[in-house]
Amino acid sequence: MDGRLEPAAEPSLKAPAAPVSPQVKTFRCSGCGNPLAVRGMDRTESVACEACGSVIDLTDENLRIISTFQSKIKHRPLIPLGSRGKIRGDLFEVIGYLRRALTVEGVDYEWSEYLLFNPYKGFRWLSEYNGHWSFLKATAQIPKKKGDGVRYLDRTFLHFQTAESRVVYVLGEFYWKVQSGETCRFTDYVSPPLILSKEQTSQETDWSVGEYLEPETLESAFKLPSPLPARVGIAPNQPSPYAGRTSALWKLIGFFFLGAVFLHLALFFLSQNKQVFEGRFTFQQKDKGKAVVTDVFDLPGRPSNVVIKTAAAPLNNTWLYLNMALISEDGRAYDFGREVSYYQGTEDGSAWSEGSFSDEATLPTVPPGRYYLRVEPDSPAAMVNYHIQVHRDVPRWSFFFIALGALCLLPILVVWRVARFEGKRWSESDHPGTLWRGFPESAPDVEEGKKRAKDGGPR
Amino acid sequence: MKKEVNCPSCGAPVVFQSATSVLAVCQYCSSTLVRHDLDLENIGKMAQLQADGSPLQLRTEGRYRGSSFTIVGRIQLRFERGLWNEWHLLFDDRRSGWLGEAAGLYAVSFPARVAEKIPKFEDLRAGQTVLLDQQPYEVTDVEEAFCVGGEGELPFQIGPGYEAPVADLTGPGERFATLDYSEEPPLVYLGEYVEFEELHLSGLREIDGW
Repeated sequence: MDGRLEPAAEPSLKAPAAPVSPQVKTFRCSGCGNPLAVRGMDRTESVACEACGSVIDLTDENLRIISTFQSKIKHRPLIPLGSRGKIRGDLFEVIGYLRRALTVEGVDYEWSEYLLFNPYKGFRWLSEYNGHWSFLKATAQIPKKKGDGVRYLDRTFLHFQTAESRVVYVLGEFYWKVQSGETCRFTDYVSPPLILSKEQTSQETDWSVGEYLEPETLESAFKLPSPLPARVGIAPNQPSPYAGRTSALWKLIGFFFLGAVFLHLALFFLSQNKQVFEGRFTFQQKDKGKAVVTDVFDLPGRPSNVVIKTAAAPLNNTWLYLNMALISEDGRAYDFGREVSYYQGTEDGSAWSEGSFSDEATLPTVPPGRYYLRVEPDSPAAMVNYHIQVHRDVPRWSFFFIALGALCLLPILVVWRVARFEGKRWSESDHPGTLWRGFPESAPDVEEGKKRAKDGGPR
Repeated sequence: MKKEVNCPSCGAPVVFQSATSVLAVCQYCSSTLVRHDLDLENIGKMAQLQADGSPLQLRTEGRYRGSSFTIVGRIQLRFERGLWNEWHLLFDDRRSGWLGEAAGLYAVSFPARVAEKIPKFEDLRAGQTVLLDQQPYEVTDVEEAFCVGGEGELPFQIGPGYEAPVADLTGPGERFATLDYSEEPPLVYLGEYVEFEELHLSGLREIDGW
């Protein structure tokens, strides 16, 4: 071979019958003579030789070497050159592989880019960083600037980072004349699972839009013999595992809340809330130490609470202590003591008061039956009138508030987990420390978004 | 209306499918034939087109917004970034349009008359906004393209090396515009980017292995 492009197989004039051989041209590297293949057909402008690192200009009739990559490490593409796979419904062939690097505060970050080709659909890219993959294509329109971010496909993309990258390693073929160390200034905007990338060189500005892909999608698309490396960290456009699910969770919490309200309302209406005893008594110093026994009253229904309300008068700067027992006819007793006290006065010209004339005590679960109260009053006052009411099965709000409190813990947990995920996402961006930036919950894919934009577009 | 003539050079039949076509390249001898009122003028051989891997070819059929079209001609242009094809479309309703194509990018456009004044080529800068048909378009590329050659039939005369100072613009949505300064006043083409699938193309060039 004389180094000129030669078709590997004579293209047949008739429609080829299956099986067909791919249209691959081969030639020898101008640098080392290693055989090289051109798969991108007539679109390819440069080819990088794996053996010697030479980049050859295919548009030059002498197959000039335009650049040489000096790399001690030979990188192996995770998806080999020449592999074909169907991504999002279209078949693509991997024709080029390059590695870019950027340096932030003295630390190098490197990632891989795979050039994909389909003669009808053109070029696409796969990018891989720390096991995270995105599938990218050039945008037909220029995204509109909006604040710190951009608008595209009816979505708002948030600025992630702006940096300068350089090409550090190449393999295979490219539709431009790729140069060793060639730099480009790029800006990434994210709206998971989408990413918008703006690449600026001195000549032009290119925009591409990418979609986050699960490694398994590529493993099955390219029928890879071994699994792709595990993901490390969180990618800029990685969909949050909580996105989409948080709304479901909020719904669930809403249901629980409504459930609690209904349950409580039901309890409220089903409660008997019935007064079963009322009595008026008078305490006098001469009765001190004597107990009063009420009439027997009935506590109906299921085992439920009993509320004893007491009120006393007159009560002026004094107290009334009632040592009480709720006693069933079969001898079961619930002992409890309540104090009612009221103090008031004037200090430095302003009036104050403390205590109250009434009190309320709840016995939580009292079985039904016939009961009476034994009351032993005590007070320093000469005479106090007091009033006792006994209520059966009174609805309590406290349970409701406890349930509500428990329900509140759930969203706090969710918010914390989302914030932790977003914090990791943004930690490698130009905006570290960001915990919560309002991404839309549901995400149409690129093609769908495009179609939507089109349907709404002008005629 | 469709008109069939014989190539003055080789005698092969040459068909003008579109009444608006003024130029046709004989597919047998590559003679460039210009149609005048009654006769044909042979202005010489058309230059060989460069292989560009395009899946489109003459007589490829497709649909755009409900109308069927046939590819009847092509101009191949060389830009700094590579080759670009403008495929001349003849629609069923005799309308003429263009399908721009390169490396899997497709755009359909039609010649348009706009009320706005078109800036001079020398005054155009990338990033500038130009109002066309009451829509704001942003200039994305200003370039002197060269015509490599043509095939089939075309609505104007071209020749190899013909310079085409052109500007590409993008508008709201998927809209785009091309300003062609090879004539005075400049020609305006308005259109939109389309996806390969949307064109429902048939009669494509067979590409080995795909």
